[in-house]
Amino acid sequence: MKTWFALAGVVVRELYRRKDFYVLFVLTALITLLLASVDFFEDVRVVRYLREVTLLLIWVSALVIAVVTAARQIPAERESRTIFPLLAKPVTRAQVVVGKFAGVWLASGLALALFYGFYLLVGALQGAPGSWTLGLQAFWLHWMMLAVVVSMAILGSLIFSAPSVNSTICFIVVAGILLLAGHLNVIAAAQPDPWGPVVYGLYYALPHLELFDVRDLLIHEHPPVAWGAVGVATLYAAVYAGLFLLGAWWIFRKKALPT
Amino acid sequence: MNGRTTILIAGALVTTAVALAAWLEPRSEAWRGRRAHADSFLLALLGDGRRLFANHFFVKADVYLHSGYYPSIFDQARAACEHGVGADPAARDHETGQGHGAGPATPARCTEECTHDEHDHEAHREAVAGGFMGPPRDWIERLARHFKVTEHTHLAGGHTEAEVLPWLRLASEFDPHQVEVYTTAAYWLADRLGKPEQAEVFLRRGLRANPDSEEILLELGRLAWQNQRDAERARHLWQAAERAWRLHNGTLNETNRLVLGRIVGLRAQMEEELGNYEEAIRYWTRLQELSPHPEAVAQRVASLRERLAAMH
Repeated sequence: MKTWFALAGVVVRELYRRKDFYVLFVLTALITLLLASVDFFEDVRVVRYLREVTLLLIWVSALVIAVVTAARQIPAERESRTIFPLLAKPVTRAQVVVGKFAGVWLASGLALALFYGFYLLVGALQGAPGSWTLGLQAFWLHWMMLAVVVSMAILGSLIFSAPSVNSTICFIVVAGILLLAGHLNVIAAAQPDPWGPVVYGLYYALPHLELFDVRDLLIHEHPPVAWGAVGVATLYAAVYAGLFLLGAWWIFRKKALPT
Repeated sequence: MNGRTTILIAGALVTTAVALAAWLEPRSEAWRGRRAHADSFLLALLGDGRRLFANHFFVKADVYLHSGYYPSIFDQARAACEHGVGADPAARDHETGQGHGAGPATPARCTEECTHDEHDHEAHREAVAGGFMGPPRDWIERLARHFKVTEHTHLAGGHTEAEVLPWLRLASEFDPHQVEVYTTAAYWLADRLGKPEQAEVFLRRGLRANPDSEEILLELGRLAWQNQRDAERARHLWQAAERAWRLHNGTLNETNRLVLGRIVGLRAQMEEELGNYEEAIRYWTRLQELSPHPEAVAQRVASLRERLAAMH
Protein backbone atom coordinates (compact mmCIF):
# COMPACT_ATOMS: atom_id res chain seq x y z
CA MET A 1 0.00 0.00 0.00
CA LYS A 2 2.83 2.35 0.98
CA THR A 3 4.58 1.57 -2.31
CA TRP A 4 1.42 2.31 -4.29
CA PHE A 5 1.05 5.68 -2.57
CA ALA A 6 4.70 6.52 -3.18
CA LEU A 7 4.34 5.70 -6.89
CA ALA A 8 1.03 7.55 -7.12
CA GLY A 9 2.54 10.62 -5.40
CA VAL A 10 5.20 10.87 -8.09
CA VAL A 11 2.54 10.87 -10.82
CA VAL A 12 0.44 13.53 -9.05
CA ARG A 13 3.50 15.76 -8.65
CA GLU A 14 4.26 15.23 -12.35
CA LEU A 15 0.81 16.53 -13.31
CA TYR A 16 1.20 19.84 -11.55
CA ARG A 17 4.70 20.29 -12.93
CA ARG A 18 3.53 19.80 -16.50
CA LYS A 19 1.69 22.49 -18.44
CA ASP A 20 -1.10 20.36 -19.99
CA PHE A 21 -3.55 20.90 -17.18
CA TYR A 22 -2.98 24.66 -16.92
CA VAL A 23 -3.36 25.17 -20.67
CA LEU A 24 -6.60 23.18 -20.80
CA PHE A 25 -8.01 24.86 -17.71
CA VAL A 26 -7.23 28.37 -18.94
CA LEU A 27 -8.67 27.53 -22.37
CA THR A 28 -11.87 26.16 -20.81
CA ALA A 29 -12.21 29.17 -18.52
CA LEU A 30 -11.52 31.60 -21.36
CA ILE A 31 -14.07 30.08 -23.75
CA THR A 32 -16.68 29.82 -20.98
CA LEU A 33 -16.24 33.42 -19.86
CA LEU A 34 -16.26 34.61 -23.46
CA LEU A 35 -19.53 32.77 -24.11
CA ALA A 36 -21.00 34.06 -20.86
CA SER A 37 -20.44 37.59 -22.09
CA VAL A 38 -22.38 37.04 -25.34
CA ASP A 39 -25.69 38.89 -25.41
CA PHE A 40 -28.64 36.81 -26.65
CA PHE A 41 -31.62 39.13 -27.13
CA GLU A 42 -30.69 41.14 -24.03
CA ASP A 43 -31.49 38.17 -21.83
CA VAL A 44 -29.08 37.55 -18.98
CA ARG A 45 -30.97 34.62 -17.47
CA VAL A 46 -30.11 32.19 -20.25
CA VAL A 47 -27.63 29.67 -18.79
CA ARG A 48 -28.19 26.21 -20.24
CA TYR A 49 -26.15 26.73 -23.41
CA LEU A 50 -23.28 27.87 -21.20
CA ARG A 51 -23.57 24.75 -19.05
CA GLU A 52 -23.56 22.60 -22.18
CA VAL A 53 -20.43 24.18 -23.64
CA THR A 54 -18.59 24.23 -20.29
CA LEU A 55 -19.37 20.57 -19.62
CA LEU A 56 -18.29 19.60 -23.12
CA LEU A 57 -14.97 21.40 -22.61
CA ILE A 58 -14.57 19.72 -19.21
CA TRP A 59 -15.18 16.29 -20.75
CA VAL A 60 -12.70 16.88 -23.56
CA SER A 61 -10.06 18.35 -21.22
CA ALA A 62 -10.41 15.57 -18.62
CA LEU A 63 -10.14 12.94 -21.32
CA VAL A 64 -7.01 14.54 -22.78
CA ILE A 65 -5.37 14.85 -19.35
CA ALA A 66 -6.21 11.27 -18.33
CA VAL A 67 -5.25 9.56 -21.60
CA VAL A 68 -2.07 11.53 -22.27
CA THR A 69 -0.83 11.20 -18.68
CA ALA A 70 -1.61 7.47 -18.47
CA ALA A 71 -0.20 6.65 -21.90
CA ARG A 72 3.27 8.00 -21.14
CA GLN A 73 3.78 6.58 -17.61
CA ILE A 74 5.38 3.19 -18.23
CA PRO A 75 7.01 4.04 -21.62
CA ALA A 76 8.67 7.09 -20.02
CA GLU A 77 10.06 4.95 -17.19
CA ARG A 78 11.39 2.47 -19.74
CA GLU A 79 12.86 5.13 -21.99
CA SER A 80 14.68 6.93 -19.20
CA ARG A 81 15.63 3.54 -17.73
CA THR A 82 14.33 4.57 -14.29
CA ILE A 83 12.23 1.41 -14.39
CA PHE A 84 15.31 -0.64 -13.35
CA PRO A 85 16.06 1.13 -10.06
CA LEU A 86 12.30 1.19 -9.45
CA LEU A 87 11.95 -2.58 -9.86
CA ALA A 88 15.12 -3.13 -7.83
CA LYS A 89 13.66 -1.36 -4.71
CA PRO A 90 12.06 -4.02 -4.56
CA VAL A 91 8.77 -3.09 -6.18
CA THR A 92 6.80 -5.75 -8.00
CA ARG A 93 5.47 -5.20 -11.48
CA ALA A 94 1.93 -5.45 -10.16
CA GLN A 95 2.70 -2.59 -7.75
CA VAL A 96 4.09 -0.49 -10.61
CA VAL A 97 0.91 -1.00 -12.66
CA VAL A 98 -1.45 -0.30 -9.76
CA GLY A 99 0.69 2.59 -8.46
CA LYS A 100 0.79 4.26 -11.87
CA PHE A 101 -2.95 3.76 -12.28
CA ALA A 102 -3.68 5.18 -8.82
CA GLY A 103 -1.44 8.17 -9.51
CA VAL A 104 -3.00 9.05 -12.86
CA TRP A 105 -6.50 8.45 -11.54
CA LEU A 106 -5.90 10.67 -8.49
CA ALA A 107 -4.27 13.35 -10.61
CA SER A 108 -7.22 13.25 -13.04
CA GLY A 109 -9.58 13.47 -10.07
CA LEU A 110 -7.81 16.57 -8.75
CA ALA A 111 -7.96 18.21 -12.16
CA LEU A 112 -11.60 17.19 -12.52
CA ALA A 113 -12.47 18.62 -9.09
CA LEU A 114 -11.05 21.98 -10.17
CA PHE A 115 -12.97 21.87 -13.44
CA TYR A 116 -16.26 21.03 -11.69
CA GLY A 117 -15.54 23.69 -9.08
CA PHE A 118 -15.19 26.19 -11.91
CA TYR A 119 -18.43 24.91 -13.46
CA LEU A 120 -20.35 25.38 -10.22
CA LEU A 121 -18.77 28.81 -9.70
CA VAL A 122 -19.85 29.96 -13.16
CA GLY A 123 -23.37 28.62 -12.47
CA ALA A 124 -23.51 30.46 -9.15
CA LEU A 125 -22.30 33.70 -10.77
CA GLN A 126 -24.99 33.35 -13.43
CA GLY A 127 -27.59 32.93 -10.68
CA ALA A 128 -28.37 29.31 -11.60
CA PRO A 129 -26.06 27.00 -9.64
CA GLY A 130 -28.26 23.92 -10.25
CA SER A 131 -28.44 20.90 -7.97
CA TRP A 132 -25.29 20.38 -5.86
CA THR A 133 -26.21 16.71 -5.32
CA LEU A 134 -26.42 16.11 -9.06
CA GLY A 135 -23.20 18.10 -9.51
CA LEU A 136 -21.47 15.80 -7.03
CA GLN A 137 -22.90 12.71 -8.74
CA ALA A 138 -21.77 14.02 -12.14
CA PHE A 139 -18.25 14.54 -10.79
CA TRP A 140 -18.15 11.08 -9.19
CA LEU A 141 -19.48 9.28 -12.26
CA HIS A 142 -17.11 11.20 -14.51
CA TRP A 143 -14.19 10.25 -12.27
CA MET A 144 -15.25 6.59 -12.30
CA MET A 145 -15.41 6.72 -16.10
CA LEU A 146 -11.86 8.10 -16.08
CA ALA A 147 -10.78 5.09 -14.00
CA VAL A 148 -11.78 2.84 -16.91
CA VAL A 149 -10.11 5.13 -19.46
CA VAL A 150 -6.88 5.41 -17.45
CA SER A 151 -6.62 1.64 -16.95
CA MET A 152 -7.33 1.17 -20.68
CA ALA A 153 -4.53 3.61 -21.57
CA ILE A 154 -2.11 1.87 -19.18
CA LEU A 155 -2.91 -1.46 -20.84
CA GLY A 156 -2.45 0.22 -24.24
CA SER A 157 0.94 1.60 -23.19
CA LEU A 158 2.16 -1.98 -22.82
CA ILE A 159 0.76 -3.10 -26.17
CA PHE A 160 1.43 -0.22 -28.54
CA SER A 161 4.85 0.92 -29.61
CA ALA A 162 4.61 4.62 -28.73
CA PRO A 163 2.55 6.80 -26.36
CA SER A 164 1.26 8.85 -29.32
CA VAL A 165 -0.15 5.73 -31.00
CA ASN A 166 -1.69 4.58 -27.74
CA SER A 167 -3.24 8.01 -27.04
CA THR A 168 -4.73 8.26 -30.54
CA ILE A 169 -6.21 4.76 -30.36
CA CYS A 170 -7.57 5.44 -26.87
CA PHE A 171 -9.26 8.67 -28.03
CA ILE A 172 -10.85 6.91 -30.99
CA VAL A 173 -12.04 3.97 -28.87
CA VAL A 174 -13.43 6.20 -26.10
CA ALA A 175 -15.18 8.52 -28.59
CA GLY A 176 -16.58 5.50 -30.43
CA ILE A 177 -17.88 3.97 -27.20
CA LEU A 178 -19.42 7.25 -26.04
CA LEU A 179 -21.20 7.76 -29.35
CA LEU A 180 -22.16 4.25 -30.38
CA ALA A 181 -21.90 1.68 -27.58
CA GLY A 182 -25.35 2.42 -26.17
CA HIS A 183 -26.95 1.80 -29.57
CA LEU A 184 -25.14 -1.40 -30.52
CA ASN A 185 -28.04 -3.55 -29.30
CA VAL A 186 -30.39 -1.72 -31.69
CA ILE A 187 -27.87 -2.10 -34.53
CA ALA A 188 -27.40 -5.79 -33.67
CA ALA A 189 -31.13 -6.44 -33.91
CA ALA A 190 -31.12 -5.18 -37.50
CA GLN A 191 -28.11 -7.27 -38.61
CA PRO A 192 -28.38 -10.65 -40.32
CA ASP A 193 -26.50 -13.70 -38.93
CA PRO A 194 -23.65 -13.98 -38.07
CA TRP A 195 -23.18 -10.21 -37.66
CA GLY A 196 -26.11 -9.77 -35.30
CA PRO A 197 -24.67 -12.00 -32.52
CA VAL A 198 -21.19 -10.54 -33.12
CA VAL A 199 -22.42 -6.98 -32.63
CA TYR A 200 -24.48 -8.11 -29.63
CA GLY A 201 -21.36 -9.72 -28.16
CA LEU A 202 -19.49 -6.47 -28.65
CA TYR A 203 -22.32 -4.61 -26.95
CA TYR A 204 -21.94 -6.73 -23.82
CA ALA A 205 -18.14 -6.83 -23.90
CA LEU A 206 -17.44 -3.10 -24.29
CA PRO A 207 -17.32 -0.88 -21.22
CA HIS A 208 -20.35 1.39 -21.53
CA LEU A 209 -18.72 4.71 -20.78
CA GLU A 210 -21.84 6.58 -21.84
CA LEU A 211 -23.49 5.36 -18.62
CA PHE A 212 -21.35 7.86 -16.71
CA ASP A 213 -22.45 10.85 -18.77
CA VAL A 214 -25.14 12.76 -16.89
CA ARG A 215 -24.54 16.08 -18.62
CA ASP A 216 -28.09 16.26 -19.98
CA LEU A 217 -29.51 15.83 -16.49
CA LEU A 218 -27.28 18.63 -15.22
CA ILE A 219 -27.94 20.99 -18.11
CA HIS A 220 -31.72 20.61 -18.03
CA GLU A 221 -32.02 20.62 -14.23
CA HIS A 222 -33.45 17.14 -13.78
CA PRO A 223 -33.54 15.54 -10.33
CA PRO A 224 -30.45 13.68 -9.07
CA VAL A 225 -29.86 10.04 -9.98
CA ALA A 226 -30.86 7.32 -7.50
CA TRP A 227 -27.83 6.53 -5.29
CA GLY A 228 -28.35 2.81 -5.89
CA ALA A 229 -27.81 3.31 -9.63
CA VAL A 230 -24.69 5.39 -8.91
CA GLY A 231 -23.43 2.51 -6.75
CA VAL A 232 -24.02 -0.05 -9.51
CA ALA A 233 -22.28 2.19 -12.06
CA THR A 234 -19.32 2.57 -9.67
CA LEU A 235 -19.09 -1.21 -9.35
CA TYR A 236 -19.36 -1.55 -13.14
CA ALA A 237 -16.44 0.88 -13.63
CA ALA A 238 -14.39 -0.87 -10.94
CA VAL A 239 -14.86 -4.24 -12.67
CA TYR A 240 -13.70 -2.91 -16.04
CA ALA A 241 -10.79 -0.95 -14.54
CA GLY A 242 -9.79 -4.12 -12.67
CA LEU A 243 -9.95 -6.19 -15.85
CA PHE A 244 -7.79 -3.74 -17.81
CA LEU A 245 -5.25 -3.53 -14.97
CA LEU A 246 -5.14 -7.31 -14.74
CA GLY A 247 -4.46 -7.44 -18.48
CA ALA A 248 -1.77 -4.77 -18.10
CA TRP A 249 -0.08 -6.67 -15.26
CA TRP A 250 -0.25 -9.94 -17.21
CA ILE A 251 1.47 -8.36 -20.23
CA PHE A 252 3.95 -6.38 -18.10
CA ARG A 253 5.11 -9.41 -16.10
CA LYS A 254 5.97 -11.25 -19.33
CA LYS A 255 7.52 -8.25 -21.03
CA ALA A 256 11.27 -8.19 -21.36
CA LEU A 257 12.72 -4.81 -20.48
CA PRO A 258 15.40 -3.51 -22.87
CA THR A 259 18.71 -3.04 -21.11
CA MET B 1 26.25 33.77 -47.16
CA ASN B 2 26.68 37.28 -45.84
CA GLY B 3 23.99 39.63 -44.53
CA ARG B 4 23.60 41.48 -47.85
CA THR B 5 22.95 38.28 -49.78
CA THR B 6 20.39 37.16 -47.17
CA ILE B 7 18.52 40.47 -47.49
CA LEU B 8 18.59 40.26 -51.29
CA ILE B 9 17.27 36.67 -51.28
CA ALA B 10 14.56 37.56 -48.76
CA GLY B 11 13.59 40.58 -50.92
CA ALA B 12 13.46 38.42 -54.05
CA LEU B 13 11.27 35.83 -52.27
CA VAL B 14 8.86 38.49 -50.96
CA THR B 15 8.60 40.05 -54.46
CA THR B 16 7.93 36.64 -56.01
CA ALA B 17 5.31 35.87 -53.37
CA VAL B 18 3.49 39.18 -53.95
CA ALA B 19 3.65 38.74 -57.74
CA LEU B 20 2.31 35.19 -57.50
CA ALA B 21 -0.46 36.28 -55.14
CA ALA B 22 -1.52 39.02 -57.58
CA TRP B 23 -1.52 36.49 -60.42
CA LEU B 24 -3.35 33.76 -58.47
CA GLU B 25 -5.99 35.85 -56.69
CA PRO B 26 -8.34 36.49 -59.68
CA ARG B 27 -7.88 32.91 -60.92
CA SER B 28 -8.60 31.41 -57.51
CA GLU B 29 -12.13 32.82 -57.58
CA ALA B 30 -13.04 30.14 -60.07
CA TRP B 31 -12.02 27.23 -57.87
CA ARG B 32 -13.02 28.79 -54.53
CA GLY B 33 -16.63 29.00 -55.65
CA ARG B 34 -19.02 30.97 -53.41
CA ARG B 35 -16.38 31.25 -50.72
CA ALA B 36 -14.49 33.72 -52.90
CA HIS B 37 -17.31 36.22 -52.43
CA ALA B 38 -18.00 35.36 -48.81
CA ASP B 39 -19.31 38.27 -46.83
CA SER B 40 -18.90 36.53 -43.50
CA PHE B 41 -16.16 34.71 -41.68
CA LEU B 42 -18.30 31.57 -41.28
CA LEU B 43 -19.04 31.35 -44.99
CA ALA B 44 -15.36 31.76 -45.83
CA LEU B 45 -14.40 29.14 -43.26
CA LEU B 46 -17.08 26.48 -43.73
CA GLY B 47 -18.64 27.19 -47.11
CA ASP B 48 -22.01 25.52 -47.53
CA GLY B 49 -21.07 23.13 -44.73
CA ARG B 50 -22.23 25.79 -42.25
CA ARG B 51 -25.82 24.81 -43.11
CA LEU B 52 -25.24 21.46 -41.44
CA PHE B 53 -24.27 23.28 -38.26
CA ALA B 54 -27.27 25.57 -38.62
CA ASN B 55 -29.59 22.56 -38.83
CA HIS B 56 -27.88 21.02 -35.83
CA PHE B 57 -28.38 24.18 -33.78
CA PHE B 58 -32.00 24.45 -34.86
CA VAL B 59 -32.64 20.88 -33.71
CA LYS B 60 -30.73 21.70 -30.52
CA ALA B 61 -33.31 24.40 -29.77
CA ASP B 62 -35.99 21.71 -30.03
CA VAL B 63 -33.97 19.42 -27.75
CA TYR B 64 -33.84 22.22 -25.18
CA LEU B 65 -37.57 22.79 -25.49
CA HIS B 66 -38.06 19.17 -24.44
CA SER B 67 -35.50 19.48 -21.64
CA GLY B 68 -33.17 17.01 -23.28
CA TYR B 69 -35.82 14.33 -23.90
CA TYR B 70 -35.16 13.74 -27.57
CA PRO B 71 -34.67 10.77 -29.88
CA SER B 72 -31.17 10.11 -31.20
CA ILE B 73 -30.60 9.28 -34.87
CA PHE B 74 -30.70 5.61 -33.87
CA ASP B 75 -34.08 6.01 -32.18
CA GLN B 76 -35.38 7.83 -35.27
CA ALA B 77 -34.05 5.10 -37.57
CA ARG B 78 -35.68 2.43 -35.41
CA ALA B 79 -38.98 4.31 -35.40
CA ALA B 80 -38.76 4.61 -39.20
CA CYS B 81 -38.19 0.85 -39.46
CA GLU B 82 -40.99 -0.02 -37.06
CA HIS B 83 -43.55 2.36 -38.56
CA GLY B 84 -42.54 2.31 -42.19
CA VAL B 85 -40.14 4.73 -43.83
CA GLY B 86 -42.66 6.29 -46.13
CA ALA B 87 -45.34 6.71 -43.50
CA ASP B 88 -46.78 10.13 -42.79
CA PRO B 89 -44.59 11.54 -40.02
CA ALA B 90 -47.48 13.38 -38.38
CA ALA B 91 -49.57 10.23 -38.23
CA ARG B 92 -46.59 8.29 -37.01
CA ASP B 93 -45.83 10.83 -34.29
CA HIS B 94 -49.39 10.80 -33.16
CA GLU B 95 -49.34 7.03 -33.09
CA THR B 96 -46.26 6.92 -30.88
CA GLY B 97 -47.41 9.89 -28.90
CA GLN B 98 -44.18 11.81 -29.56
CA GLY B 99 -44.72 14.39 -32.22
CA HIS B 100 -41.31 15.95 -31.75
CA GLY B 101 -38.93 13.60 -33.40
CA ALA B 102 -36.70 15.25 -35.89
CA GLY B 103 -37.71 16.80 -39.11
CA PRO B 104 -40.47 19.24 -39.47
CA ALA B 105 -41.34 19.78 -35.82
CA THR B 106 -40.24 23.22 -34.70
CA PRO B 107 -40.08 24.58 -31.17
CA ALA B 108 -42.87 27.04 -31.86
CA ARG B 109 -45.12 24.56 -33.62
CA CYS B 110 -44.47 21.97 -30.98
CA THR B 111 -45.47 24.30 -28.17
CA GLU B 112 -48.64 25.22 -30.00
CA GLU B 113 -49.46 21.54 -30.31
CA CYS B 114 -48.55 20.95 -26.72
CA THR B 115 -50.68 23.83 -25.53
CA HIS B 116 -53.64 22.83 -27.62
CA ASP B 117 -53.83 19.17 -26.80
CA GLU B 118 -51.54 18.69 -23.90
CA HIS B 119 -53.72 16.07 -22.30
CA ASP B 120 -54.19 13.95 -25.43
CA HIS B 121 -50.53 14.25 -26.14
CA GLU B 122 -49.45 13.15 -22.67
CA ALA B 123 -52.01 10.36 -22.62
CA HIS B 124 -50.66 9.02 -25.90
CA ARG B 125 -47.14 9.26 -24.63
CA GLU B 126 -47.95 7.38 -21.46
CA ALA B 127 -49.63 4.71 -23.55
CA VAL B 128 -46.26 3.80 -25.05
CA ALA B 129 -44.15 2.35 -22.25
CA GLY B 130 -40.81 4.14 -22.02
CA GLY B 131 -41.80 6.81 -24.58
CA PHE B 132 -39.81 6.83 -27.84
CA MET B 133 -37.18 4.67 -26.14
CA GLY B 134 -39.60 1.80 -25.68
CA PRO B 135 -39.12 -0.68 -22.85
CA PRO B 136 -35.45 -1.45 -21.99
CA ARG B 137 -34.11 -4.41 -23.96
CA ASP B 138 -31.45 -5.58 -21.51
CA TRP B 139 -29.90 -4.82 -18.12
CA ILE B 140 -27.36 -2.36 -19.55
CA GLU B 141 -30.12 -0.31 -21.12
CA ARG B 142 -32.15 -0.53 -17.91
CA LEU B 143 -29.18 0.82 -15.95
CA ALA B 144 -28.47 3.49 -18.58
CA ARG B 145 -32.01 4.88 -18.21
CA HIS B 146 -31.05 6.10 -14.72
CA PHE B 147 -28.48 8.44 -16.25
CA LYS B 148 -30.52 9.69 -19.19
CA VAL B 149 -33.40 12.12 -19.50
CA THR B 150 -36.46 9.86 -19.53
CA GLU B 151 -39.05 12.39 -18.45
CA HIS B 152 -40.91 14.33 -21.12
CA THR B 153 -41.18 17.94 -19.96
CA HIS B 154 -41.35 21.23 -21.80
CA LEU B 155 -39.78 24.55 -21.02
CA ALA B 156 -42.64 26.59 -19.63
CA GLY B 157 -42.86 29.43 -17.17
CA GLY B 158 -40.18 31.09 -15.10
CA HIS B 159 -38.66 32.55 -18.25
CA THR B 160 -37.15 29.13 -19.06
CA GLU B 161 -38.37 29.35 -22.68
CA ALA B 162 -35.51 31.78 -23.31
CA GLU B 163 -33.12 28.82 -23.16
CA VAL B 164 -33.91 27.96 -26.81
CA LEU B 165 -32.85 31.40 -28.05
CA PRO B 166 -29.04 31.05 -28.08
CA TRP B 167 -29.33 28.05 -30.42
CA LEU B 168 -31.73 29.86 -32.74
CA ARG B 169 -29.41 32.85 -32.81
CA LEU B 170 -26.46 30.59 -33.60
CA ALA B 171 -28.45 28.82 -36.32
CA SER B 172 -29.16 32.20 -37.94
CA GLU B 173 -25.45 33.08 -37.80
CA PHE B 174 -24.52 29.84 -39.51
CA ASP B 175 -27.26 29.97 -42.12
CA PRO B 176 -28.87 33.41 -42.51
CA HIS B 177 -31.17 32.00 -45.21
CA GLN B 178 -33.01 29.53 -42.97
CA VAL B 179 -36.22 31.53 -42.65
CA GLU B 180 -37.79 29.16 -40.11
CA VAL B 181 -35.17 30.18 -37.55
CA TYR B 182 -36.32 33.82 -37.60
CA THR B 183 -40.01 33.04 -37.41
CA THR B 184 -39.50 30.51 -34.60
CA ALA B 185 -37.34 32.90 -32.57
CA ALA B 186 -39.87 35.69 -33.16
CA TYR B 187 -42.64 33.46 -31.81
CA TRP B 188 -40.72 32.78 -28.61
CA LEU B 189 -39.62 36.36 -28.16
CA ALA B 190 -42.96 38.00 -28.81
CA ASP B 191 -45.55 35.46 -27.71
CA ARG B 192 -43.83 33.66 -24.85
CA LEU B 193 -41.25 36.06 -23.47
CA GLY B 194 -42.99 39.39 -24.00
CA LYS B 195 -40.23 40.92 -26.12
CA PRO B 196 -41.95 42.03 -29.34
CA GLU B 197 -39.30 44.69 -30.01
CA GLN B 198 -36.53 42.10 -29.97
CA ALA B 199 -38.68 39.85 -32.16
CA GLU B 200 -39.11 42.63 -34.71
CA VAL B 201 -35.41 43.46 -34.75
CA PHE B 202 -34.59 39.79 -35.37
CA LEU B 203 -37.24 39.47 -38.08
CA ARG B 204 -35.93 42.61 -39.78
CA ARG B 205 -32.49 41.07 -39.73
CA GLY B 206 -33.96 37.96 -41.33
CA LEU B 207 -35.70 40.09 -43.94
CA ARG B 208 -32.44 41.76 -44.87
CA ALA B 209 -30.90 38.32 -45.49
CA ASN B 210 -34.07 37.01 -47.18
CA PRO B 211 -35.81 39.88 -48.96
CA ASP B 212 -39.32 38.91 -50.13
CA SER B 213 -39.70 36.08 -47.63
CA GLU B 214 -43.45 35.69 -47.23
CA GLU B 215 -43.05 33.93 -43.87
CA ILE B 216 -41.02 36.78 -42.35
CA LEU B 217 -43.33 39.45 -43.78
CA LEU B 218 -46.29 37.52 -42.41
CA GLU B 219 -44.73 37.43 -38.93
CA LEU B 220 -43.83 41.12 -39.09
CA GLY B 221 -47.45 41.89 -39.96
CA ARG B 222 -48.66 39.72 -37.09
CA LEU B 223 -46.37 41.60 -34.70
CA ALA B 224 -47.54 44.96 -36.05
CA TRP B 225 -51.17 44.05 -35.40
CA GLN B 226 -51.04 41.88 -32.30
CA ASN B 227 -48.44 43.83 -30.38
CA GLN B 228 -48.61 47.37 -31.70
CA ARG B 229 -52.25 47.41 -32.90
CA ASP B 230 -50.97 49.16 -36.04
CA ALA B 231 -53.57 47.98 -38.58
CA GLU B 232 -52.27 50.04 -41.49
CA ARG B 233 -48.76 48.67 -41.14
CA ALA B 234 -50.04 45.13 -40.71
CA ARG B 235 -52.12 45.48 -43.92
CA HIS B 236 -49.08 46.67 -45.89
CA LEU B 237 -46.90 43.89 -44.55
CA TRP B 238 -49.47 41.19 -45.30
CA GLN B 239 -49.99 42.59 -48.79
CA ALA B 240 -46.24 42.40 -49.30
CA ALA B 241 -46.29 38.84 -47.91
CA GLU B 242 -49.01 37.84 -50.37
CA ARG B 243 -47.09 39.43 -53.25
CA ALA B 244 -43.98 37.51 -52.20
CA TRP B 245 -46.00 34.32 -51.96
CA ARG B 246 -47.30 34.81 -55.51
CA LEU B 247 -43.80 35.54 -56.69
CA HIS B 248 -42.47 32.27 -55.29
CA ASN B 249 -45.46 29.99 -55.89
CA GLY B 250 -47.01 29.61 -59.31
CA THR B 251 -49.88 27.36 -58.33
CA LEU B 252 -51.56 26.38 -55.11
CA ASN B 253 -50.58 23.03 -53.65
CA GLU B 254 -50.76 21.18 -50.33
CA THR B 255 -47.38 22.53 -49.20
CA ASN B 256 -47.68 26.20 -49.99
CA ARG B 257 -51.36 26.71 -49.15
CA LEU B 258 -50.55 26.84 -45.42
CA VAL B 259 -48.65 30.13 -45.61
CA LEU B 260 -51.22 31.79 -47.87
CA GLY B 261 -53.95 30.51 -45.59
CA ARG B 262 -52.23 32.10 -42.60
CA ILE B 263 -51.83 35.44 -44.40
CA VAL B 264 -55.47 35.51 -45.43
CA GLY B 265 -56.68 34.21 -42.07
CA LEU B 266 -54.79 36.81 -40.04
CA ARG B 267 -56.05 39.57 -42.32
CA ALA B 268 -59.64 38.33 -41.98
CA GLN B 269 -59.32 38.17 -38.22
CA MET B 270 -57.91 41.69 -38.02
CA GLU B 271 -60.63 43.18 -40.25
CA GLU B 272 -63.28 41.46 -38.14
CA GLU B 273 -61.77 42.81 -34.92
CA LEU B 274 -61.71 46.29 -36.44
CA GLY B 275 -65.39 46.01 -37.38
CA ASN B 276 -64.72 46.06 -41.14
CA TYR B 277 -67.18 43.24 -41.71
CA GLU B 278 -67.33 43.50 -45.50
CA GLU B 279 -63.57 43.22 -45.79
CA ALA B 280 -63.56 40.44 -43.18
CA ILE B 281 -66.19 38.48 -45.15
CA ARG B 282 -64.12 38.89 -48.28
CA TYR B 283 -61.03 37.42 -46.59
CA TRP B 284 -62.91 34.69 -44.72
CA THR B 285 -64.44 33.63 -48.05
CA ARG B 286 -60.98 33.42 -49.56
CA LEU B 287 -59.82 31.39 -46.59
CA GLN B 288 -62.67 28.97 -47.16
CA GLU B 289 -60.92 27.85 -50.36
CA LEU B 290 -57.62 27.40 -48.57
CA SER B 291 -58.62 25.91 -45.24
CA PRO B 292 -58.68 22.17 -44.56
CA HIS B 293 -61.90 22.83 -42.58
CA PRO B 294 -63.99 24.96 -45.00
CA GLU B 295 -67.28 24.20 -43.19
CA ALA B 296 -66.06 25.94 -39.99
CA VAL B 297 -65.01 29.00 -42.01
CA ALA B 298 -68.35 28.95 -43.86
CA GLN B 299 -70.18 29.13 -40.53
CA ARG B 300 -68.11 32.13 -39.56
CA VAL B 301 -68.88 33.84 -42.87
CA ALA B 302 -72.59 33.16 -42.37
CA SER B 303 -72.50 34.61 -38.83
CA LEU B 304 -70.69 37.70 -40.07
CA ARG B 305 -73.22 38.18 -42.88
CA GLU B 306 -76.01 38.04 -40.29
CA ARG B 307 -74.23 40.60 -38.14
CA LEU B 308 -73.71 42.85 -41.17
CA ALA B 309 -77.40 42.54 -42.17
CA ALA B 310 -78.46 43.43 -38.62
CA MET B 311 -76.30 46.56 -38.76
CA HIS B 312 -77.99 47.74 -41.94
